[in-house]
Amino acid sequence: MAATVLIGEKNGAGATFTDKTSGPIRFKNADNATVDLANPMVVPGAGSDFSFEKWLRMKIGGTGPASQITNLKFYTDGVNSLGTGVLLWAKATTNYATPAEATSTTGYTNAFTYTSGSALSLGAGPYSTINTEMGDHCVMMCEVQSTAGPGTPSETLTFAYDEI
Amino acid sequence: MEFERVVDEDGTKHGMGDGIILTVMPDASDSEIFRRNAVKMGLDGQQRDHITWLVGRLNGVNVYYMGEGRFLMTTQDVNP
Repeated sequence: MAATVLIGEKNGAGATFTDKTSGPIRFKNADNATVDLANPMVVPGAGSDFSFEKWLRMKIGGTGPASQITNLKFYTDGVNSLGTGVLLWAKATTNYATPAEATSTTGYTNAFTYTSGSALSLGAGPYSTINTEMGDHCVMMCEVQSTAGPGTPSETLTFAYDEI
Repeated sequence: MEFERVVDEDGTKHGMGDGIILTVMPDASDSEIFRRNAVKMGLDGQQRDHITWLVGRLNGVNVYYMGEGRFLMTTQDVNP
């Protein structure tokens, strides 16, 4: 039987893990996993509005691999479909820190440069312990520039891993 | 797709599922059969897809079974 692998969002000083494998992720101006219209990102008159960081991480659920999980990766389709003036940034970080509002793109890379052929590594592994997070966090943040329009655009993110 | 992985006593590895069997002989130091998974998730939660490929590796050459009878053989590291 294949392992259960969750993709979750972590929030707060306690690093609360919320399973987002089948649910939406809302970039906003607050540190929580709630998908609502509170604390929305706004289109600024000038400059950029940066979201709070989203700390995403993979986790082995209640069913582990027969042997091991390795080669954790993150990537996109390489095309920003979020619309004009809406950017998505990403980086890999080992140690968790309470999500904060980003103030610049320093340290981040345009998420759409990570593609299936050039993915962001989130850890080589091996990992095998059930109910345990694995690998680096994929820390993401959204930037809304003054040229953006209103709406709730979406994109598809891919988290990949090998299993034996 | 669900794949089962079986290892014989002599180290021969088999990946089975979707009506195919992919076998890798243990005649190299780098021989393996594994599943490559990709979870594609929409930020809006409307889209979710879990893709699994069966991969056989022998001496740096990978054979990917992508389903529907499609195989890819390459030295490249390919993701779904």
